[in-house]
Amino acid sequence: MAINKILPAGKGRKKSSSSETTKTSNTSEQGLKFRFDVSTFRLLGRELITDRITALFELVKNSYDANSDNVTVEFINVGNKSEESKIIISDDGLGMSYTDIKNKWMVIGTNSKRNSRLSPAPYYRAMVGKKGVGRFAVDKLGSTMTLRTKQKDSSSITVLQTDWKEYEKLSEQLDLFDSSDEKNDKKRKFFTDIVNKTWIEVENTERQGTTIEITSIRDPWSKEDVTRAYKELSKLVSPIRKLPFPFQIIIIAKEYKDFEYAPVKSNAIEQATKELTLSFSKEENYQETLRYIKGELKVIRIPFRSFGPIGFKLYYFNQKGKRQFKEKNIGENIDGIKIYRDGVITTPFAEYEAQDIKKRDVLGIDKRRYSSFFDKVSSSDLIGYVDITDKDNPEIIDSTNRQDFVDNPEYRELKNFIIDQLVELENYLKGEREQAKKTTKSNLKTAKEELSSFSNIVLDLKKSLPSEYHPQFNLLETQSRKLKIDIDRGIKEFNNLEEELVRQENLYLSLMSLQDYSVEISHVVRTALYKISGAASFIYRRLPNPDLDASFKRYAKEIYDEMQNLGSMVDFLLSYAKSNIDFVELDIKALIEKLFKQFKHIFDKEGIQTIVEITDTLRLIHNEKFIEDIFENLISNSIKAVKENSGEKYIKCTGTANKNELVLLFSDNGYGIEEPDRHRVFNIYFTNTAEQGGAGIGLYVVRTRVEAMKGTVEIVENEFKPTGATFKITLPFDKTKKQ
Amino acid sequence: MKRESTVVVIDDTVKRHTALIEDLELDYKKAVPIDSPDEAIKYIEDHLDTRMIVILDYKFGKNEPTGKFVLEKIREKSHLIPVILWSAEDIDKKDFAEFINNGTMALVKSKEAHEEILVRVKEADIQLSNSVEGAIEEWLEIHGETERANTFLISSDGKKCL
Repeated sequence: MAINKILPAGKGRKKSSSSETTKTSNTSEQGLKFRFDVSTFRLLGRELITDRITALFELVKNSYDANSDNVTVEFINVGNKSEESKIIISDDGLGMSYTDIKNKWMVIGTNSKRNSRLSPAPYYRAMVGKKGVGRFAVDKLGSTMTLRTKQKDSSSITVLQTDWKEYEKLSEQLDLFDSSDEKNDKKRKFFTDIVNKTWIEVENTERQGTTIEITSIRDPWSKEDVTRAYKELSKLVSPIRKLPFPFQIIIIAKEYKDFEYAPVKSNAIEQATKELTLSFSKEENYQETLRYIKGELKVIRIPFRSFGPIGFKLYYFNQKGKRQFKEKNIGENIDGIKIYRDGVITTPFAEYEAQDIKKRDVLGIDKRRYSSFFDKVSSSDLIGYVDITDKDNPEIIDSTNRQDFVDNPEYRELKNFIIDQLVELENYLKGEREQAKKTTKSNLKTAKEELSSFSNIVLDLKKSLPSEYHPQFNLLETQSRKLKIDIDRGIKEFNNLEEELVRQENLYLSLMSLQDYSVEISHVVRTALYKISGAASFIYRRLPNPDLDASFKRYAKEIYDEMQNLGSMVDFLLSYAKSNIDFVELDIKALIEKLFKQFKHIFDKEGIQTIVEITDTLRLIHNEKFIEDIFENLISNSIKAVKENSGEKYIKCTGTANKNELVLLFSDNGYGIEEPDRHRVFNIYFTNTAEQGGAGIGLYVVRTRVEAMKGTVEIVENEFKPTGATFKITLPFDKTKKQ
Repeated sequence: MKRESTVVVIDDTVKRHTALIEDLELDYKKAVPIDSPDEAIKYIEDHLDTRMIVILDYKFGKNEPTGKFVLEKIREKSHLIPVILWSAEDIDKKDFAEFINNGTMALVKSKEAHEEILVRVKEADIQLSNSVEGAIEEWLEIHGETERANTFLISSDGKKCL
């Protein structure tokens, strides 16, 4: 290898920059150009690339974009910082010509990757780097860099040397400059004035690719740091999608055991408690989705959703699975669901966060407020890979910071789809837990029965044998009696524990419901205040004005109504505060009849007829206040709905019980609920009865209370015709029955 | 005298008969309450030639697009419409940066601040009156299609500017 010729560093740049200076200082009429202060590179490099793992990731990603098959990341003497410490990243990719270096590498924010989203043939890789700032990642790793690059069939190696220390020196000098003094201007150097050495070497080999050698490293790399780099790099390529042209990363850190030569592999996940795979078919036009049906988690087919077909692999870990995973993969985290586009990671993009809790939750898995506390799975129970492609999922667009996607209807639907899968998994897990509980209970019962027949056999045997054998049998009898006592105690403990668990679970649910509710209450109070302050402001600013008398009257009434609303809200909160959270046995029929009686004066005044048809034997164990809230709100909602009826006015409540659940139908023949409103009537602050003082809280309370009881509420076909509304409330017995 | 702007209030709780809308109707050419983000985007797209000020809520109902999305859509079509962000909730830091980057004119942090919103709308209207863009929009509004096609300026080298 011989140095052929040394090119003037930053060829052509120096000349043009000095002529720029002349122009600007001579004639201000000719305009001014932006000049980059040296702090710019700091901004780009150190702030956009937040840590050194991300920096390494950026450089490896560049190798991927350059069609490399292999990239080696070599750490040399990095345990302690010294002159011998080096990090070398070398690939066998396309390499760069001198012109590429000059016009692409040396130009910040080069958009060559943005112009073409695919790498050259035959690889056609979807380009991962798009910002054009990846090269500043080097500065995060060390302050000097030698880049050697060679293209296929070329005998020239272009070498570029960058010493970030020069930039730092310049930065320090600039701080001493008086920028208001025009005389200093010529002496002042900018970021773009610093010369980076470059030369061409000749090498007649078949070799191709780029090698970046970083010295004067910023920080030492411990074995743990190298392990961390290994683990993050193992996530670059999707473990479930085979790339047509494989991309292999190799880490070498000879000073550390296990890293003498370590090809980066995605971890085979063997410890998962449950492994689920969803695919799709473009030929048959279906997407697979999970559905929990009759105790089984099934994969069913549905039409493509708006976001397009996706592949999805999900691993769930229970406590045992997590323990085994941690034992097998030391330092590795169970870190949620990631999205890969065309086989390469998109989000969370090269994000390293040692504390799980600080991780961003772009898919909203951990933010689901309404899911049940006990059955919810979180990111730390899951490893998942969602596979999308540029071609099939064009509306799933990376956001500019690469930390999320652009918020659009398709992305929202994709998020909902992923959450739906988790909900089905949660239902399955819940079913499994309940099944396990039943099995234990039944095993205990069988053990008791078997022990009883064993005791009888022993007794029979004792009777049939001569008395000299009796002492041994006495011993057996005593032991089996003891055993029976222990089993009985076990059964009792099991039942007590189960009862206690149900009680605790319900208590948590009520507290959560209250927590959710308090957020919403503050929203409602705020909105009332907004209406009151708007109306009051209108009146005092516009008074007197005879043309606006009707408005003044309307706003005065609005203030009054809102005050009433606030008053009832306070009453409600007070009743909540006073309500007993203990669970009592309730006679549903008697309770509902009592609640209907409370409204008797309104029914009489409005001429409303009521029908309550509930089986006498229906008894629930629950918080009385919850049931009261549900029915008080349904009744008051129906009163508003039937008020304007010209003919008969009906409110009806029927209750039937089947094996597993109590079904309550609550109907009126009022003005009904329009189809477009059906999905939002249970939302807080949605109302169609604002004129009658409806604040949009009632049905929200109904929904939250029913959900807290693990039940469901929905609008079904109206019982009364031609208009009216019917609410169907389903309450499962297994959460409420006495154990 | 009424000001020339149309004020579009995009908020899922706003109704026609509220003090804010009536206040705006008394002082401005028109006040349009819209409770659905999709309808709001459509309205704005259909009225791009109108001198318009937008009051935008930050969060809508569950599964509805957010104010951020609405603003992005507005900005895809026009950078000339002043947008006042109005929210009773704390704005996510990341979203806040995007609101600023997308040229949000003001942020009114409390929905009770009825008079503050009126002040902000007035400022936006003054800004529109004083801006060149505002003048061009008004010119477009006053002039019909045929008039717009007429020569408006002739440059020193004799080229006609439409």
